[in-house]
Amino acid sequence: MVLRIRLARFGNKHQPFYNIVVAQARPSTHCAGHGRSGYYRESDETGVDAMKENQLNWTPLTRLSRSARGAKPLEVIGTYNPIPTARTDVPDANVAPRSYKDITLDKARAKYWLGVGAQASDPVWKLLNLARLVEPKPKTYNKA
Amino acid sequence: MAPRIQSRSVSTLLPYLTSSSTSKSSSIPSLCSSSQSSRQFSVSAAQQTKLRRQMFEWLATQGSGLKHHVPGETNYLKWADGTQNNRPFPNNPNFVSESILSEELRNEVYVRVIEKKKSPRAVSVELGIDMNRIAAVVRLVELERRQREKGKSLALPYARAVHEMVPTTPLAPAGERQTYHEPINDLPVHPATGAQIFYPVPESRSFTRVDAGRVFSGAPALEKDVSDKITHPSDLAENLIQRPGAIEWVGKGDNARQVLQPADVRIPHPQLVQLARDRAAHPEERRTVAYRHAERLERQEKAEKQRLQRSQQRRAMNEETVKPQGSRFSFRIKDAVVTKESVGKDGRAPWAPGRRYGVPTNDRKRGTVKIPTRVEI
Repeated sequence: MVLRIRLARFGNKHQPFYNIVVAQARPSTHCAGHGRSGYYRESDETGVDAMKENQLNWTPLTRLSRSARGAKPLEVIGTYNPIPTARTDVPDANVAPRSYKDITLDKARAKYWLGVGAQASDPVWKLLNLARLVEPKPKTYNKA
Repeated sequence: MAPRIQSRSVSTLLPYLTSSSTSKSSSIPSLCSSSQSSRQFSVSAAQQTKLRRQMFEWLATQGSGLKHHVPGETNYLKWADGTQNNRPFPNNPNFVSESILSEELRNEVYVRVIEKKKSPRAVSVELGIDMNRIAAVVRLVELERRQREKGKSLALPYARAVHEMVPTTPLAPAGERQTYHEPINDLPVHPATGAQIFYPVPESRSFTRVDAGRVFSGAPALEKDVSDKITHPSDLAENLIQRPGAIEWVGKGDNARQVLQPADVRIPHPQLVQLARDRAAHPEERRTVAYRHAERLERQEKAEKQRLQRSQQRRAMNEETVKPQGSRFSFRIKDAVVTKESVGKDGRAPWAPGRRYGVPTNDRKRGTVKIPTRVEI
């Protein structure tokens, strides 16, 4: 069973807004029923200090329902607003004004989930790379 | 219906008002007289009212002097005795043409703020220009310089023409006193002071502007020993400029508001009140008073700078801007901290990062107000 860090779409039509969430990967048909050996951490122990192994409160995964795309995730670790906000201040002399996109991210939790083997989806990988948590994914032309 | 004018005649007519009839003649008196003959396809008599005839008469006599403006002077109607006037519309005495900053004064503001590193507050007092205008001038001159560096053309002929036609405040020559461009210490009306409150006060008690501010904001009266220490409302100014966080709050939740401060604190330059009071108290010791004023200014500026630095540091701590190469956008990454306080016991508190699950957004519901009530910059 794989944990995935992925985006969950919120917002309205033409106004996307994403939560960066940690959720169960949707089980494919052949591995359904093989998830009994997994565990997950209960989300009420969310303090950063409580990240040490011995303080964690582990719960068998079987208590979780398989998560659908829009279902409640294990944890929301941040947000991503893909609609660029225009700069309102006077732009810097040397740099062309760039509108910015907002990311909020709990870096400590993201590191933790990556550490326990959560896999980031491609869009999240890019965001985590911007936050310098993972190396950039090799592109096809780099591999060849 | 608007008169149709042949393009040939437009250039000759433009300095005056356009006539309702097309005319090939260039001067106004002839335009009046020949209007009948130029209406080639009309049978009815031309409509020439008395007022209209008078207007053209005026344009031909007194008004002809206003056709071309004298550079460096306003081209407004003069008083009967020929003196200059800053009210361009005689029937609207409330319209006063205010002077604008001259080119030299504008550049002087920039030099003092950016090159000499003086505070906008000090420059505002020196040159008699409102602090908001100082900030705007600095931004605009900065923008103009950048345009020049990039080799872009500026609308200089236009600027020159405008500066010739409207009154301007000149920069005083070195060593002379600068004339004030505008009143700099205006007090904006606070909405809390709009209420009419009847507040009985015993005659034996002193009731100052400080107490009035507390009444307006619904705060309890000051303790006697605290209020006794305040000899004049302007005493509070220096402390509050250095520590704006010290202003007391009243009310709870959405209704929380800061206690209204006396006008002596809220004006743009509270230190000038203290300067005037010092001058009145010690008329003989001008130098000491000036020295004390300079010292006070320095203290305030230092405190303001420190505060700015601290807030920038705080922002830099939990915010970072990444500009990836080859991207049109930059990404602002804010650090969200997940603690029990910030995300709630189950990690899904309404104030936790991210949109909420299982909470309906009523933004499309019938009857809800969809007009934004606040602007977040």
